[in-house]
Amino acid sequence: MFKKKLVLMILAAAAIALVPPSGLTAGDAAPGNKPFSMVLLRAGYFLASDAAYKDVYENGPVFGGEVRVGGQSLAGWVEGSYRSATGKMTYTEEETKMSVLAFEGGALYRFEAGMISPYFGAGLGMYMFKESNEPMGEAKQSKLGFCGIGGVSVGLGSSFILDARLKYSTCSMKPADFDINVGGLTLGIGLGMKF
Amino acid sequence: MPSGKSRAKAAFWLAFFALTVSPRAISAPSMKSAAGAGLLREKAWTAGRAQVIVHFSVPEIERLTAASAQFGSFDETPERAFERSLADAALAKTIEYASWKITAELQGTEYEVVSRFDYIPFLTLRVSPNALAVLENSPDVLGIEEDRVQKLIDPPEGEEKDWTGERPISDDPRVFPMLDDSASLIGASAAWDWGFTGAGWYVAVLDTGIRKTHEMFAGKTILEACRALGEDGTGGCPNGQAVMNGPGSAVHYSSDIKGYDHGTHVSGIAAGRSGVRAGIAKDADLIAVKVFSRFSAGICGGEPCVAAYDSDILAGLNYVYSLRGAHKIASVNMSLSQLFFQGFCDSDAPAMKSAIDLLRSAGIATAVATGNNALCGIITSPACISTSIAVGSSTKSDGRSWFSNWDAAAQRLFAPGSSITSATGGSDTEYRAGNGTSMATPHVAGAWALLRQMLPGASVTTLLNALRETGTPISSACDSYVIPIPRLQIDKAMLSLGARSLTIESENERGTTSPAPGTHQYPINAGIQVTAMPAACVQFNGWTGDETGTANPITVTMTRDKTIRADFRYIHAPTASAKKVLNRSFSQAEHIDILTWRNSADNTGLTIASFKIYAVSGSTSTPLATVNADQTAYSRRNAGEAATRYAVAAVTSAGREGAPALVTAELD
Repeated sequence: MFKKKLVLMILAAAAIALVPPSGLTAGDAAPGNKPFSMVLLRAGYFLASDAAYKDVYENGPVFGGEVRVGGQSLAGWVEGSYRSATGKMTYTEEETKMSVLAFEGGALYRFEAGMISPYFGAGLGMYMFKESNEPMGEAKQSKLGFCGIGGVSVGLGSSFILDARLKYSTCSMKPADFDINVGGLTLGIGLGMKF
Repeated sequence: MPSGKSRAKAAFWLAFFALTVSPRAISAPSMKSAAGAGLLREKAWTAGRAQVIVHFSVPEIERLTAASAQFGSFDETPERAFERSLADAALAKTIEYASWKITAELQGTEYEVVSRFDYIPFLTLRVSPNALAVLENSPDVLGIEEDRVQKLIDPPEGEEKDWTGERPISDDPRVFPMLDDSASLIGASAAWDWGFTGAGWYVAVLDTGIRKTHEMFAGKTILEACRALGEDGTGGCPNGQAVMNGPGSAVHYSSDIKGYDHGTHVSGIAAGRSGVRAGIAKDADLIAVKVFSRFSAGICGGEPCVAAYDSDILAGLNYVYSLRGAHKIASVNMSLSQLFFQGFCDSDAPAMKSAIDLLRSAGIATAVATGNNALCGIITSPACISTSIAVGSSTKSDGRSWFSNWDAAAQRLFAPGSSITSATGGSDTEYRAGNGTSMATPHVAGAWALLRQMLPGASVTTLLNALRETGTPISSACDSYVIPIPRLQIDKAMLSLGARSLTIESENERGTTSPAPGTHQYPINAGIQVTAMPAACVQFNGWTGDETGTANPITVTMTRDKTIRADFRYIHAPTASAKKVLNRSFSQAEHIDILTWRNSADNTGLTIASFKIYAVSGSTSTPLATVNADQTAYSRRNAGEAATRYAVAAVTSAGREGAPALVTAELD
């Protein structure tokens, strides 16, 4: 029940953030809430929160992209990321492969401080997990999870942005024999264009 | 349906009639015996000529015959073969020279030489009355007998089927196994188990020929010959001559001649073999001598038949004698009959006796059927010759077959002759059950091959005495069951001829043997197959004692009393351990059971070829794998989380599995 309420709250916040204030257009927005949009390409390093994940696949890189739309303070964001890894079975050390495709979105709040804009936010994610190996075959499952972000954007001229971010995600599922959490902490940077 | 008593009564009156009313039926015409002289003369005058067998004097015939016949029919050295050929040649040449003297005396009379015999002092002539008179008065002629026609032995008549019972057996399982039954009954099966199958020996069958392509004769060596004058004396062999040797010479007539395949049936009983259908000497080879020709309805009494002159039989017997050096011949089978005789008939058939004697001197028995006329105290010729082995027919329940002629004095043996299945001439796979003394006789002829294989140098008399002393006695209503005649019992005869003991020892708890441990009696020279049967977790390690080696089974040849011991070795369990481990990816998992072991030090000296792994559940063991001996671990994947019990056992190079090591794989 709590999870459903949390999802609804996050969706509502994102909707508010993405809808421009009534009566305003992009050209005549009120000061302090000037509309903007940006697209970022992201790369990061994923630190798994599940110890079993680390035992089998270890931490590693993750790649993705983000679209952020909103006012000067409140904004919405959607993001896709992909992580794949090859690891070893714990006893036989046979090869096993895993991938997580995640689509996340939510709302964030920015603090305007010149060229530097710190922000934080929260959102929902759909996490599509697949694992396959020779001895045991394939296991896959998709499930909704949560994420929280916090970072800082630095303007590079009038059009470009450099973004540094921490994201924490969590998504529990049971595609096969174990309850697993495919989420974790992602330390990432992004490079984007502002429109 | 006549009862046994009424049959016996009918037989008695038939015999009485034969003895008192019909002299020809009881005594053949022969000159220099007053009774036959008149008949022969009358026949010669009536027909203008007569076919006679002349017995003539030959200087030193006894010595020459003995010198030749001392070379019996068994393996001989080249030196002895040379000596035999010299002795045979001396006998044959002397006889031939003496026969010229006879024919020289006939100059100026009408005569024709029909047959000469190499090894007996007899000559078959077709003579005019004048020539017959010359022979009668010749001091060199010892006797003259008519060359009579021998018909194929009459099949039994009455309520039971005759041997040509017109019932193909191959599709009738009720009667199919009869030959097998009789082989078992007379102890042939036991003799086979002892290694006596007739291998290396020949049985000669003087009969209608043979269908040598029949499956019962596959793989056998079949020597063929024909000695058949034919009805008119011009030749009854396939080549149109009276003499023919080699392939095709003993081919039988077509099926429209009654009894055409009698020889095939008889040969199958004596020495046939096809799968489970086996004659008595199942591994013996055959000499098929066709002596029967096609005779017209007049002679046969209504319809054409096959028949033979005495001359044909004599020529056949002489031919068999001539082969005795090159081939090991155990016996001659003659399932044929002619005239009725009370007691022995030696003086009435001197030529036949001479031929049979000659073979007997060389160690070759001549088994002859007593006839199928259900007579008491009377048997047919030539079975009545004292030196033949006269064979009557018995049933499988050891009674006298209802049709079998019986004579307690002249009949030597009984053998099964009722409902005997053997090859026929219809096709290569056809079988038929037959009844008759014709079927009983080849049981004896075949038995002789087994006995000669056991004792190659034994005389006919020795073997016959053994058979008569050990045979199952069968008595007859003919003499109110007073004088029994022994029924052939080969295994007992073999043991009586020389038994050797075989003592088999083994460690009882480690294993046993077949035959079972203990002391057994077997015939001398028997080849006994002994099998060591180790108990569970035990390996047979070899034989010690009078036989050594590791062969299993082993064949022990009973040349003397022997003791052998089967040594066994216990195969100890390996030292083993097991554990259960978890093998996981991120989301998936399996449990792997891992077994490790090492061979037991107590198995030193045993060659371990592999280890066998079982999953054990309760009392059930399910084989999982067999791994090489150099492997010391085995893992079983997806074994589940529950504790699992396993067994590991060493397997020796001999395929024996040792004691299992029981271990349980469970998570720590």
